[in-house]
Parts: sequence; structure tokens; C-alpha cells
Amino acid sequence: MKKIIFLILLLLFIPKVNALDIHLFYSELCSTCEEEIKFFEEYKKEADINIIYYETTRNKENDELLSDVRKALNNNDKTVPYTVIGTTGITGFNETVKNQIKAAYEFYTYEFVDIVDVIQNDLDVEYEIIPPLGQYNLPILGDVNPEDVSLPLVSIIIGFIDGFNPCAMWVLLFLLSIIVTMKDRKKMWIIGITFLITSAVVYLAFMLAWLQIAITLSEIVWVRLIIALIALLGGAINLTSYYKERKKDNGCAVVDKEQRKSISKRIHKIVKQIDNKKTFYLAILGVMGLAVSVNLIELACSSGLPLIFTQILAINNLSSLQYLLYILLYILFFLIDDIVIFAIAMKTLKLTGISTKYNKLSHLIGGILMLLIGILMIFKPEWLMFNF
Amino acid sequence: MVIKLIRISAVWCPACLIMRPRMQEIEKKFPNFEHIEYDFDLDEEMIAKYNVGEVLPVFILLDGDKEVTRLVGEKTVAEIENKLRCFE
Repeated sequence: MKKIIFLILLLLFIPKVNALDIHLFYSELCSTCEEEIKFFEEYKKEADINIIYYETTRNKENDELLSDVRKALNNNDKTVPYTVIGTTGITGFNETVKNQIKAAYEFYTYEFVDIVDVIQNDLDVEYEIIPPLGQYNLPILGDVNPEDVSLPLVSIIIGFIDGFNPCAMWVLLFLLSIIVTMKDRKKMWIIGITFLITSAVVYLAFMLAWLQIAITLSEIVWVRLIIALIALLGGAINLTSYYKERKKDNGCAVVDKEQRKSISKRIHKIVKQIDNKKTFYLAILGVMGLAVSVNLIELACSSGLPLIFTQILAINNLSSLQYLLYILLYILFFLIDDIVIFAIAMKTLKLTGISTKYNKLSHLIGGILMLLIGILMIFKPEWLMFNF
Repeated sequence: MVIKLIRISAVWCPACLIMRPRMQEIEKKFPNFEHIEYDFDLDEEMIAKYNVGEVLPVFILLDGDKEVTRLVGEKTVAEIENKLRCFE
């Protein structure tokens, strides 16, 4: 991977000298091939390229060459068109392939191995297979670079699954059940938003602190292995929990009586302070304290998901701003169910819940995800860099 | 004898909140039943005799004082309806 980054950096400084050879294996009978040929005729006008065509249906030699090239590039596809640039092979033709060809044109500006040339001239050269680079053209989303979307997607998925753990949801509902009866809407919003923001800040503080440790220790293999074991353990706990509960009734586990009484007492104290103008700031402090303690429980309850996520960030060597933005994205989706419930309560003055069947599902998805991350951390940590 | 449907729920329980509109529907469909709602925290003494377990909400169908059936957790309207039809 470092080689690829190095090569990309090189292309910024070394200008193209010769036209880039692009080998196109095609069939006369294939309409997609025709489209690609047309594309190349147009693309030639703007790029310094030399297209070499190989008809494979009627020409046996070309067909054999195609087989050899595919073998050399570890490509098991059977279809044409097949485009070869340097040591990059691209099957098919569509908007994504267009982008991949353009990306390859930008990429191959240095001395590189032309695999077709190597095979045709029977050269003994060492080479590295370069997978297709560039963006994918997806419906609705348009051009998408997987490298750009992978980490945000991972942040969203892990944050969302983490948010479904029910350990702290009951406290928010308890608080909302009391504040929706208040007459002062403004105060209701202040109390609710204070609770949510404090929750976010507690999580942010924890994740930033762990990130610092993870960045400092990310090069130490055994630290990564410990995190991987936590991920595997968390995954196993989640899957066991799913297996045990899958056939049980969907419902709320009764919270410990003492805990309920203590939280109830704290919330009622807060509500009394809200009513009095002079003690309103004490109510705010009370809500903040409540959110801090609840989120500490939540952290203990999350099976290490924030820990694993920050470790993934550390592996990716990002800038400080990127670290912060990914953690904020994680926290936004972690809190999204709380935000939705709060917004509905404020709008309708009625409480609503999220079906407990999703808790089971979050155990299943979270468990599989954690096992996968744990295995990758041990055997293929570079995959967690999401550089495709 | 009037059949009573007792619902035991809590404000902090998302599944109980999910069940609220469903139970309103059930109340309309079974007007002959007496529908009673108890809060798990506030009506502690009232529900003590029903031996509520570790999962909420709980729905108990009583024929007089005798418990005839019980449903625990989040249920669909159809699931509750099917149970209640037997005692209509």
C-alpha cells in the first residue's frame, strides 16, 4: 500500500513522456465492447493514449494472450471487454470503468510494467498487480470513491449500532416523561438539549482520550491484538446474547429497583429546580450530572464499540480534524435514536419508544461486525485502512 | 362476570410506549372488557399480587379474580386479539 501512495505522489512530479499503451481485449460480437471502442475514440482526443485492440472471438492468438494476461493478473472473469493498463486489468464497461480508466491514465505516469508486453516478449520481470483505481458510479449517488466513503460509512454503522444498546435509554425516557408535563416549552427544550449535548460531550471526551492512547500505541502489535481480542469477545457476547434472546419475548428488562429509585429521585429534584427561576441553573447542572453518569453506564454497556472504532481511526493515520469529524459523525448516529425520541416528545408532548426487537437485531449485526473487525485487526489490519 | 385486561407498564420502557397505541386499538375492539393500566413504579402495591417477572409490559387477562392468560413483552395487535377472542 505504501508503494501505491508513493507512486501516486510520484505522478504529481513526473510528467508523462510517451503515450500510455492501453490494451483492449474485445469481441466483434459484443455491443458493450463497441461502446468502449467508441469511448476510446473520444478519450484519445483529450488523453495521450495509444489503444491496442485484440479481437478474441475470431483470433485464437489474441484469445490465448487474453488467458495468459488474466492468469498473470489473477483475474478469473470470462467476459470481454477486458482493458489492461500496466498491471491493472478492468473487466466490462460502464461509467465506473470509465472512471477507472481515467484514474489509471493519471496513475501510470512513471516507469511501469506493461503486463501484456511482458507476456508477449516473455520477459522475466517482477511486478505488482495494481487493482483498478478510481470512483464507482452508483445510482442516485453518482461517482463515489470507496476510499472516501468507507470510513464515514463505518462511523455511521458502528455509531448507530452502539446507540441501540438499551442501557441508558430508560433514563432519557424517565426524564422526558416528567419534563413533557411542564408548561414551559423553552425550559423543556433547554433541559432535553442539555442532556443530549452532555451525553455527546462525555462520549467525545472518552473517545478522544482513547484515540490519543490508540495513536501513541498503534504501532505496538500486542496493543492492537488486545483490542482485537476485545472486539472478538464483544462480538461473542453480542452473538450469544442474540442467540439466547432470539426466541424470548421482545420487551424491556426490568431495571434494578434501587437504580430506578435513585434516578427518579434525581429527576424529581431537577424538576423542582426547573420551576424556580433562581435554581434553574442548578437544574441544568443536575441534568448534566445525570447525563454524565448515564453515559458512563452506557460506555460500560457498549461492549467496547467506541474503543474498537477509535482503534480503526488510529490505524488510518488521519489529520486531527478528520479524527474529530469521524468521532462526531459516530456520536451523531450513536445519539440519533435519542434525538428522534426527544424531538417527537417535544413536538407531540407524547413519549414514544423504539421497538425492542431492534435491540436483538443490533446484537446480531454488532456481534458479526465486531468479530469481523477483530479478525481483520489480527490478520489483515491494512484492510481496516479501507484503501481499495 | 366481566373479563378484565390488566396492562402493567412503565414510562421508562420503550416496549410499553410502543404498545400504547396498539392497546388503544384493542380497547376499541373489545369494549366489553374492563381495561386497567398499572404503572410498574407508581402502583407497586396493586401489582405485587400478579408476580410480574423481569420483562415489561405484561398483559394479564382475568376472569373475575382468576388469571386465565398472560402475555409478556411487545406484541402485535393481532397477537393480543387472538388471545382475547377466546374469552369474548
